[in-house]
This record gives sequence, C-alpha cells and structure tokens, in this order.
Amino acid sequence: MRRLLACVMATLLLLAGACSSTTASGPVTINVTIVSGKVSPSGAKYDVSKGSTVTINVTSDSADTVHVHGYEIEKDVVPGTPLVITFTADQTGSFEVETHVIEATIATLNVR
Amino acid sequence: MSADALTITLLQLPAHGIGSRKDLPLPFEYVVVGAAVIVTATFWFLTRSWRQVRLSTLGGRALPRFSRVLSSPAVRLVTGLLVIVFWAWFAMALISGKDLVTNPVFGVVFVLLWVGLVPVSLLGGALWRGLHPVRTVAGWFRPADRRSLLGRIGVYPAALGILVWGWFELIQPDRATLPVLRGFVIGWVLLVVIGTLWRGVGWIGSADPFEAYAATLSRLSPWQWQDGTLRLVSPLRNLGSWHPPAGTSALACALLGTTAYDSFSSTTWWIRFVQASDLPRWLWGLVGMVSMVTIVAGLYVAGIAALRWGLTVRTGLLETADSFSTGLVPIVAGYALGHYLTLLVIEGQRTVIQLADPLGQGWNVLGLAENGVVATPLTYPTVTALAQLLFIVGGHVLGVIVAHDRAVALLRNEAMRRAQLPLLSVMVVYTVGGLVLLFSP
Repeated sequence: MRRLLACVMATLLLLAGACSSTTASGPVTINVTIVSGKVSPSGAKYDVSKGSTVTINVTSDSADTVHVHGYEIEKDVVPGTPLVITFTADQTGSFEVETHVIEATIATLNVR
Repeated sequence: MSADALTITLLQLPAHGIGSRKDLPLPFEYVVVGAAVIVTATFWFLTRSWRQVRLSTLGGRALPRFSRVLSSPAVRLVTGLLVIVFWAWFAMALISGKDLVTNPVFGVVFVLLWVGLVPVSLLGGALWRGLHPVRTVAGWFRPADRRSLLGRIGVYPAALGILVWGWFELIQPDRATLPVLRGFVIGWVLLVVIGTLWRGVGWIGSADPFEAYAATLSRLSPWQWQDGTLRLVSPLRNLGSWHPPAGTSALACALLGTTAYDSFSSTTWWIRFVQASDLPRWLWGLVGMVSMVTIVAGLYVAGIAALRWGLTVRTGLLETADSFSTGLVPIVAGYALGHYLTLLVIEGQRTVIQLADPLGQGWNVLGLAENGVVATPLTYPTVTALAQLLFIVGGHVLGVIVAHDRAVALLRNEAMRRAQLPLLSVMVVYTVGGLVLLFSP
C-alpha cells in the first residue's frame, strides 16, 4: 500500500520535473474595440513575463470603464476617443481585464 | 511582494483561484497521459495484489482521555461561545456593514466557509460540526430529534442545496453585492432553523449543503468517533469503513460538476461564446452548470450500472451508486484543493484582516488590520501547478483504491476485474477531464 503510493508520487515528480518551462518575454500590446455592446478580444489569454510593459489600447462606441484586476487600474473610456493604459507587469498571477458597463471579460493576463 | 500584490477583487472573482492557469514544467499532453497511466496502473496493481477487503474496519487507536476533554462541558461552552461571537460579528457586518468589497462577509462566505471547510474537515474530522452555529444553539435547547424521515432522504436535500449554492457562487450576476448575499444567508438560516425545529439536529446533516459536504470529507480525515470515543485512524480506513447515507453519490456529483463548471466557464472559448451570444449570461451559466453536473453524474451512474451484474447481492442502482461513492470522496477533496487552495491562502488572509473592521469604520480589532497578505508560496507558479496536479491525480488514485476495496467486498470473485473496468474508465475520464479543465487556456 505504502509502496504503491510512493511509486505514484515518484512517477508524478519525475514527470513534472522532466523539463523546464519557457515564457516569451517582451512588451505586450492588446488592441481592444467595444462595438454595440460586444468586446474584441473576448476572453483571450495573454502570457506576460514579469517585468514587461503591457499596453492596452481601447476604442469604444459607448462610455465604459476598463478595469485591470490586481493592478487596480480603472479608467473611463469616452466614445470615439482612444484610451491608452500602460503599466509594468510586476506582480505574478492571473489577472482579468474587464469592462464595467457592459460587464464583459476582455482578456486574462497570465503574468509569471 | 507587497500586500496588494495579488489582489483579486472578490467583486468580480468570488471563486476563482489566483492564476488558475499555470504553465506546467513540461508539455501538457504528457501530464494528462501520465496521469491517466498512473490511475490505470493503480487499478491494474490493485486487481493483482489486493484481493481481500482491507479497509472495512476502522482500526486505529482510541483516545479516551482526549475524547473526555473534547466532550467536557467547559470545552463545549467555550467553543460554543466563540462560535456565537464569530457569527454575531459576521451578522453585524452583514446587517449594518457597507456594500463594499472590503466588507468581510463576502470573504467569510465564499472563502472561509466554502473553501475553509475542506482543510478543516480533512485535518480536523468532525470539527466542522462543532463549529456549526445552529447546532451550537440547538445543543443548548435540545429540540426533539425525529430521524425517521432522514434515513430515507439521506443527503439528497444537501445535494440540491449544492446546486443552488453553485448557482449563487458562480452565476448569479449580483452575488457580490450585500443585498443579494443577505438574501442567500437568510434563505440558509431559514432552511436550517425551520428544519431543525421540525426534525431535530439530524436535519442539519441532511439538508445543510456545507455541513453534508464537510461531513463527507471528514471521512477522509485521521479522526473518527466510535461509541463516544475519538479514534486516531488511517484516513483510508476511515473512508473505506464508511456506509454513506443515501444521496452521497448525488452530493459528490453535484460538487464535482459545479467545480468543473467553474473551470469550464473561464476557458477562452466559453467566455467568447457567451459574450458573442445575445442571450443573457446567467442563462448560459445555468445551461453550462447543469450540463457539467449531468455529464459527471451520468458517467458515474453509467459506470455503476455496468458494474451491477457482478454484485454478490443485487442492490438497486442508486443504492449501489451510494455504496461505491466512498471512491468519489478523495476526488472531490482533490478537486476542491486543486481549484481553491490558492484562493483560501490569499483571500482567506485578506478576509481575516477585513474582519478587524466589519462596518468600514476604521476599526482595528485584535490588531488584525495591521497585517498584510503573505503570498510568498504562490510566487512560484510551478510549485502551485505541481501541487494542483498532485491533489487531482492523488485524489483519483485514492478514489480507485477505496472503490476497489468496496468492489472486493461487494462483487463476485470471478467478476472482479471485468465488472470494475467501466467504473475505472469513468475515473480515467474524470482525471483527464479535470486536468484539461483546470489547466485549459
């Protein structure tokens, strides 16, 4: 019984330790459009390496608020005027970028 | 790392782990195949070398002195008072607190209660029962216990309660606003209090989804009461010697299905699909959650249906499903820890800090407000991902072991391997499905 569990654990560790991960580094730019209550991109995932610059360009045909979770950046977007949000991704984790009026998920930033 | 380094606003994210998707240190396909191989190999090993029932008795060591201390009136009174003070504090924040994310009530319900009960029950056994506010008060007034009905309905009401909770926790659009949370807490109090007055404290174990969930997980803990004495036992024997109440398989499937939906609903393609649709999001959420629970339950019942020909004594489908549901318990525990442990670590600390100031008046009770959230263990995504993987695969391996022991007890010898194969396939599908959902893009 104990031997069985030990075997299982060893296999798992061996499997998981076999290789190491690579994450692309460099700045990340996300171009966001909000047209008649629909966002694009919609629920997309972005890999961001810690320390890189993230730029989010937003154009919208309605007044809305864009919220970057975790970094607690909240900015209003005015119809017709492009909004630019720039920050350094200095915290690891998974952070959602959302709109607060139409309540849609634009993207998730996986910072590591 | 600063205190708010890993802030996730509960307002938008009531039940998501931080960094729910973490890169594993090797190609994901290898991990999934490896996990499936491990579960299958465990089964193969068991059918060769585990031919006698080994887990049917509790065993372990009796702890009479410790039991006497735990059951002494003084300990009961102090615990009871602490429980009442905590819940009175909670009620104060719920009734007169501000409708802000910083109100601790959200963290108490979504994190300390819902996620906290998992480690409390796995490490502390029946401890959760002792912390139940209604049970505590009922213990002082002793309403009449009428259990006749409860034997038949088992934990079916609690299974239904888990689905309602799933709707509230994962779908209800305004769940993180104070009025909606108040409504749900009042609903819960009415359900538990009226039922207890009607049927005695036995009702709590039948109908309170949190209590039934905690009681089920406590069978995987190293503690068990037997004839009024607490015993230190092997967790596997604790679970293997259990005869679950009716509806335990429904409860487990409701838990697995709602957890699966939680992962599923944050996949890119589901978000994209729902956001492109003109139908309301809550409707899609409901469809998604019900589908997940149906798939999980359907697979399990199919596995059980395909096993019944091998039974020594033929029992009904649902009765057989409940007998084998001990095998689902470690899987439920594995998923709960894999999905929500990071949430408990981070948001649990934040909630405790927020409890210093329940009304948003700048209080600093017990100096709690001076603390910051310590997120050090989560700064290594690989470690987090590895732990998640261990919980899920480990849960399935333990599930296969416990289910096999039950099979040895209930199946005819010549049918042993063949009758179990469909159920094993279900376990492998659960493993693969669970990993794909947890680590899906």
